[in-house]
Amino acid sequence: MPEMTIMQVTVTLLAAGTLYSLLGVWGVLHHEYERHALLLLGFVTALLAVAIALRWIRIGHGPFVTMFEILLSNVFSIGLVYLVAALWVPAVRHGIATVYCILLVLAAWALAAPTTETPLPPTYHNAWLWAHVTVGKLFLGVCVAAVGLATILLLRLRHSNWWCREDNVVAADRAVWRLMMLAFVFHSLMLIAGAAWAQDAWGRYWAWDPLETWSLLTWCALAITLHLRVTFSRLPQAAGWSLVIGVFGLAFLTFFGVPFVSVAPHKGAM
Amino acid sequence: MIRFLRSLASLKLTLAGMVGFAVGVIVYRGDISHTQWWVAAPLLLLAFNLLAAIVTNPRFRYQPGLLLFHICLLLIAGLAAVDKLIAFEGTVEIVAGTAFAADQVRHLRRGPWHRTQLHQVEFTQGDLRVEYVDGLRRGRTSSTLWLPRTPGAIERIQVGDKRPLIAAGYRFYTTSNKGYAALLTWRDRNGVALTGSINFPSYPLNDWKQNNQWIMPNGASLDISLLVAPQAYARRTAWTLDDETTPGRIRVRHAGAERVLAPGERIAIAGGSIQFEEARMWMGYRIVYVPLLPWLLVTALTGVLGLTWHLWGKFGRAAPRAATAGMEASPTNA
Repeated sequence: MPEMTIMQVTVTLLAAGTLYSLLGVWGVLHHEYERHALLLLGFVTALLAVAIALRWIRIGHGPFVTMFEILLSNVFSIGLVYLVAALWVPAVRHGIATVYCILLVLAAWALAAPTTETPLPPTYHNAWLWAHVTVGKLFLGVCVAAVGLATILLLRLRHSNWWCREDNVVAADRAVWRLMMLAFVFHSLMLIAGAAWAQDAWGRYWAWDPLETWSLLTWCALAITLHLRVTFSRLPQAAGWSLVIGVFGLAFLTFFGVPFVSVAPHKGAM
Repeated sequence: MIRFLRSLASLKLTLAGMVGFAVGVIVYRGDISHTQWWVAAPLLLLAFNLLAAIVTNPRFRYQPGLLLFHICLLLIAGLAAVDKLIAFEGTVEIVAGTAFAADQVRHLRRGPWHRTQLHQVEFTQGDLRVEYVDGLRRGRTSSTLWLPRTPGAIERIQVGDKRPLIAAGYRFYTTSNKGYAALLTWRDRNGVALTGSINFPSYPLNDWKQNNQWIMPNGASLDISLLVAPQAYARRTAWTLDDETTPGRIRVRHAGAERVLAPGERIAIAGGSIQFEEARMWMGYRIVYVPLLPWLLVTALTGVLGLTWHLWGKFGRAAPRAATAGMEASPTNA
């Protein structure tokens, strides 16, 4: 199976990228390490695009059903969204080490997941599914970009020799919150498209299934975090960044934990 | 009054309401053993908090995108509440060749303001076809329905999976619940005939227990089993569940005796006789009444549009590169 081979190469490259970017954060490497790490990530993302295309052509549907497919497509989409964000907002590049760590975990998990080919359930033949999946992946990608930066900013509090200039921190902090606001827009759209899909697929737009409940909680956590920042102007930066990481933790659990322990229709059960 | 409204409009109260809502969601989770007030009470608090903020906070009013987003949230909560009051949810099983009967509908949820119009729905169940792609993995479902249109005219439509029948505001969705039914005719000593059907459990999910009981008009009960041949799914290959795969014989047990009947055969039973007409398929439908659905969708999308407008106005004007220009020239940790 070619995509499995590509996935093995991907994990190796991601492991190398993680090590390289961590050394960069630690101050061992030249300051251009971010650019090199981004180039490597671009290559990995292109490889994953090939893997997805090969599997799509062979089994006749997109990577929507099995755990392997969902993880594969998420490593690709997070990488792609992060690359776009890093090109658009240079401050985002400082979080690349964290992003590599997250991608490595997901890719290694994909290697361990069964690569069984499952037909697309009839409820998945729906345009709303495409909208739901697309905005969901945009949400997760933007969230990972924010959390990458927030983690590095938090670590900087312990190692203040990183990024000596204070304006770096100001710009990075601003980028974190802008990305979280963008994530809120995408998450809201994901809930709407998901409800429209559920109405078509199962005849109800909201049924409190575990995935719906947890995604609503993630939306609430995101809204609370954004309101906290507005309400308390003296909210310590570290608290804000920690909340961002917490929101991502909840989103990660919702995306990759709940669908695989629940027997709800979201699992694609027939 | 203004002081009270200002207190009610506090952002800290907003946060308390949101935390309360999140806690309510965790407790409630659609579990009907818990009261809906876990979710409704924080939402009410947030609604009053928002209304007060709109009245007392001019900065809020001067940000139209943000205002639009919050008003839409308010409308969504209102629409969802009305939806709860007027919604209907039920199920029905219809045998091929028979007409939908409103009195056969099993009510699952009915809002207090729902005025049933199910008796206005008219259609007859036609052929059914369910594709299985691999053993028991269900593929597409297709159900033919016959709808009376202008006097004397009948329209044939196809529903299934994402395509429901929409009639009198109700949506009829096909479900995974479907199977076989036996059509039986009871004749009493005077020759008065009564034809009805008995549905066997959902197939192929319950292929091992295709039996049911039929209470005859004279009060006696009959145990009836459908004799199902091994199906293609046992070989884990693609197969289709349709009229052509419908089994042809039933086994009838009564008073210690049993007999296998083919279509058209009958047995004499005390007080009359039972004739097995034929086996047919039945389809289980999920019926929902959600007339506010399009309004909910439009309101939600408008809200997100408002939020996007707000964010664009706030951040879109300042180029991100300019905002971070200092970083690219800054010394790093190297």
